[in-house]
Amino acid sequence: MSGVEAEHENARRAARGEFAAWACPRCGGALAWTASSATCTRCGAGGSLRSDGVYEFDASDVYWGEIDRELMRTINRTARERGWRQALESHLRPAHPDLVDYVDDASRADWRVLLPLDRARTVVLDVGAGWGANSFGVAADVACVVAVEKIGERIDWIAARARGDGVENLIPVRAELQWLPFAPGSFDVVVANGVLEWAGLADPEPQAGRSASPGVLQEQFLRRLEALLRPGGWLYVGIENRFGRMFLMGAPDHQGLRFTSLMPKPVASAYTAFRAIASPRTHDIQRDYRTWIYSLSGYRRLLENCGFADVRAYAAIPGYNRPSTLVPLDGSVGPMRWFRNHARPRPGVRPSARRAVARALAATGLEAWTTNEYALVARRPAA
Amino acid sequence: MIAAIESALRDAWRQEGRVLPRTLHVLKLGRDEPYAWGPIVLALFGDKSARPLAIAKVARIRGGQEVQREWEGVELAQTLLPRELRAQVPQPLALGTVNGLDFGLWGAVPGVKELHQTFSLGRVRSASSRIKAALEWNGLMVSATVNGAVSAATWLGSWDELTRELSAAACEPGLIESARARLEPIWDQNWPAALAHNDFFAGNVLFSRSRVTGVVDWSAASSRAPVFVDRLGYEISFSLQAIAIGDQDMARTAHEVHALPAFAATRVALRREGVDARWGSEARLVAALAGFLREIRSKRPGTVDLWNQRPGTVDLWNRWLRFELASTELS
Repeated sequence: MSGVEAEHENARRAARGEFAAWACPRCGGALAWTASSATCTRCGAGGSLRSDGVYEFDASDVYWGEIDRELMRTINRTARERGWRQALESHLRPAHPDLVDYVDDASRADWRVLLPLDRARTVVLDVGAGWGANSFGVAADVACVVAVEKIGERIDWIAARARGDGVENLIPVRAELQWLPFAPGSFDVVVANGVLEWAGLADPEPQAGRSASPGVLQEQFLRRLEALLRPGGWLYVGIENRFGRMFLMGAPDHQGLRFTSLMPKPVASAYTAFRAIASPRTHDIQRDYRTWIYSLSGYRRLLENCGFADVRAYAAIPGYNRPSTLVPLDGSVGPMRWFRNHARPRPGVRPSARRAVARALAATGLEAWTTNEYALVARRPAA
Repeated sequence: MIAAIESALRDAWRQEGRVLPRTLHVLKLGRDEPYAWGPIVLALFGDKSARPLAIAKVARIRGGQEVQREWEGVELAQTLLPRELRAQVPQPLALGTVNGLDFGLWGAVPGVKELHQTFSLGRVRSASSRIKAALEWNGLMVSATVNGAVSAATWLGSWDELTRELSAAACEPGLIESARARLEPIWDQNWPAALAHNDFFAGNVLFSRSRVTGVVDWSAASSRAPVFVDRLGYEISFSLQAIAIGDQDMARTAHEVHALPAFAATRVALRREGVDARWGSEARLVAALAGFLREIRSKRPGTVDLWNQRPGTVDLWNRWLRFELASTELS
């Protein structure tokens, strides 16, 4: 290892060991740490440091995810006993082969190329980390990454994988997304990949039994993220477009219903109550449309309202979870035209007609408004 | 990272006395199916109208050799090729690191890749004028750089070494033995040698109409390789791609590709250069083996190790090698 490499490794170890940006998730007060627990000096709320390295601020018995809970637990057990790769091969691949890349492919974090990262200094918060693919993908490029996830089984997976791979600069934290246990100004980069849409699903503090509107909860969530960034720090958001072609063609939304993202919100809510189906992700019966997504201008407005500046939008093709290409949508239709003129046709029905439509959308600028998914970066203004 | 790379691009242009216009970048993350591995991130810089100005290749992991290899390959081509062919090779602009990751910057070459770079058999036929142009370009490259002779042993390594490499990459033992039995007697035989791209396939050639305007991805290039390797590898690549995307009848596909006039003309040209490139010839088998080895060697430790996760490609090469070894009478 060269001198510079050694210096970076030391900085990364120090960043993990000395990560001291904790704050009470309830009141923001200072946390007093013992070897394995933390207590708020102001309100008495607390958390713990588990023997597997997970910082736990939420112990609720809830579960949702891409696979059923029993299988997730089996995978975790195997990951602890025989390693995480073996767990994927033995249990995930046979049942869900399409999920293996989603879980372990480091290139899912290629959005990192968009941001100014520094291996010796940058501290990243990956909020709603899921299986941790983004956290593990970016870990080698930053000093420290804090992976926050509410679901116990998922954070167990992240902890097992981090231990198995010796990823020393990753801190797994179990916490509710609306109650993040960090002090303001603690992070250089905050990642919210496929998370913002879920921020309105449940109100952790309903007033008189009534949940706040999803839009209000999403704003609260973004404002918290903005506060957690250091001045000049960057937010990355991967999310669907409300008017994406897949929704226009009838793809189900996050709650499992078709065309809701295209409807006015009250109509979508009434329709959701009428259909009352179980969400494919949370498995709960949903009676309110709460996984709001927006158009490109909607996201810009939302981010700017929450204090962010310098919002830059990219079309994530084919999607933010499996990006093959990021095409900038700001300022010119040129890049999208270039991309559509050079893109390899995908097999399917009427490829020539589909290519002609795609090229027309690109040339007119409509592609920016109908692309399926966005990768957005925005900056907290420098002080 | 992209801002730092753009800054390096601006500096490189300034050193050449040019002013870089405001650039926009498209990021290609290298996940295109069916070839889903990607040791690099490709950033394409263009102006507002998307006229390509430069491309950057950024290593995904530290210590990866891909960017360095690409830089050396392009420099080799720029050094050895005559001016009229050099224009089709990207111009090297800058090599550097950003946050510990290697990146290289090259001037963009004009043109578009053949959109159907994964070809079905029907598409191979429809692209014949471009195939002819690409083969002619490669023939000119060889003529301009031909220099002495080289044996397969010097170019690819000893059979003991190859056996180890092929075995480690899950090449079937029986195939290795058969290939060795066929090729070992001629392994030290000298072939006319020239510059070789070594990954000359439809995805790496850019066209304007039916004129070659660019040849990209020189990471596997070598200054002295047998003169037939690119042109025979080009033919094999079409058959492999057609089979990879579902053409089941390997013999029929390979036969029809082989019979295309552009490839037949290449065999005639190679005969004039002293190479028997007919079906079942040793030269053809060497080219097929070299293709397999190129895939293996581009996935060596230090690169993103996706090789073992893509057994489909290994299976495909195994099938192809078996087929090549069994086919001796097609020409």
